[in-house]
Amino acid sequence: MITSSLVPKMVNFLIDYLTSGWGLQFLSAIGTSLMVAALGFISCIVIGILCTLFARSGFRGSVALVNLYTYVFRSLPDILLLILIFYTLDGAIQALLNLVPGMSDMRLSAYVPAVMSTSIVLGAYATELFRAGWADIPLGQHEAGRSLGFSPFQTLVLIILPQVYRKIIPHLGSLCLISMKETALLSIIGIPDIVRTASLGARSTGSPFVFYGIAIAIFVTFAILCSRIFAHLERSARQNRAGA
Amino acid sequence: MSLLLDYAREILQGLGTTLSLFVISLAIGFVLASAVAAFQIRFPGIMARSVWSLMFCIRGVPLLLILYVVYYGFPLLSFIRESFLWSLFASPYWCAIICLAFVEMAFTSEIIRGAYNQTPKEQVEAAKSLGLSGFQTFRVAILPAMLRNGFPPYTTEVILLCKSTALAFTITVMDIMGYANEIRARTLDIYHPLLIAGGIYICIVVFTRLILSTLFNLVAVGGTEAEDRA
Repeated sequence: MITSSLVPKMVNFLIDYLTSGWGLQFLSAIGTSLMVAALGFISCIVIGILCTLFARSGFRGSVALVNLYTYVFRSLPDILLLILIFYTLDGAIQALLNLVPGMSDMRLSAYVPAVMSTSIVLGAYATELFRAGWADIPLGQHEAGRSLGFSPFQTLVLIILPQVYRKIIPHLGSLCLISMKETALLSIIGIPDIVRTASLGARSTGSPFVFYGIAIAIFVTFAILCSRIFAHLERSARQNRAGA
Repeated sequence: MSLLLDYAREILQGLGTTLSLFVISLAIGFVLASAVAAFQIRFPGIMARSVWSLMFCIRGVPLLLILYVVYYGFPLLSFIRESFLWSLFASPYWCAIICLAFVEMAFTSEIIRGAYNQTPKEQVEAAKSLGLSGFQTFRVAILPAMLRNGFPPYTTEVILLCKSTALAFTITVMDIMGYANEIRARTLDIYHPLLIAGGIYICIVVFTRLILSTLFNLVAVGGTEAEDRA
């Protein structure tokens, strides 16, 4: 009987607490950060796969080009790239649009440069990762797939990528964690992410440790979840291999 | 062209700050990381696991957040304001160094621990059966293997630290990024100062890689050479 009256009370208290103070702001900040992190993570994997394919395609200079890309963006500070893209992308797109007659002005949301810079920087790391994973796979696998009648795309998705995936899962986990940590930089260009919400709260209430503490707790929770998920993925990938 | 040279000259004023941030936090971070890793290896069990968890948490938190906590939060603590620590935490430069070294400690200790665990057990046993003392075993059997296994990830980590020093400008340290951002805000010229700063950072990384690979060739003992001799 006690629990049945206690539970709604607790829920009410939680809802009151969340809607009255900074709870909602933090919730939307978590959403923002997670969204940018997820977009950045997905697009950096796509960039990694495309760059690896391009480097292995055998075009003249493709290897040098990909090497240049990974070298430059693994050396450049992320924040520099973010500021560069944030302040120039709008103007560049405006200039492009002005070339086409009859196009109206367009305002880009600040999220576009944020996702772009995250995925460009992480893409360099992902490219190195995929190239290292790819290097161990014998060329014969590709030919075997082709001789069994798979199309090149099918060979890639069904035969090559699963093997690469199995090799690089632990590193994918750290890449996922880095893409979440990278979202902290968004606060510098004024996107209300976790760090910005925390520092706004810290400044306006004068209790920085509470607000930064909440932000740190969110990031640590994400790190723990991330390592759990990827440890699980690694285990299941190994079991699949043993079963096959 | 002369405008670019002016920009470059102004931005290069921050080179010393960036390099000293980089080198000092690297050194402090390495010493702390060695201590943390040695502690984890020496005292296995619950102590090592709790230290590992702490390091894991530090690795999960963005550097920017740690910078904000130390720079905006610590001055509110009275025991810091009223002790000798205040002279340290009052300067954004030392705040940045402390944060960078702190984060570097978390990453490097894991690299050192991993390199230690990768050392083949037979190698240690062989050294012990030859009658070597504890320190001799470490110097002859463990350290060379650790260097060989740990150097490549450590190089990556050092480059990451070099990139992270750019974040110091968010707490008003005038490093390369700080000067570049200041010129950008003053002149509304976005491309030139930031591209010059990017070029300088790439040069620093190229030199760092060069120094590290030279160092590696100097200290590394080849793994195959010993087998040849045997």
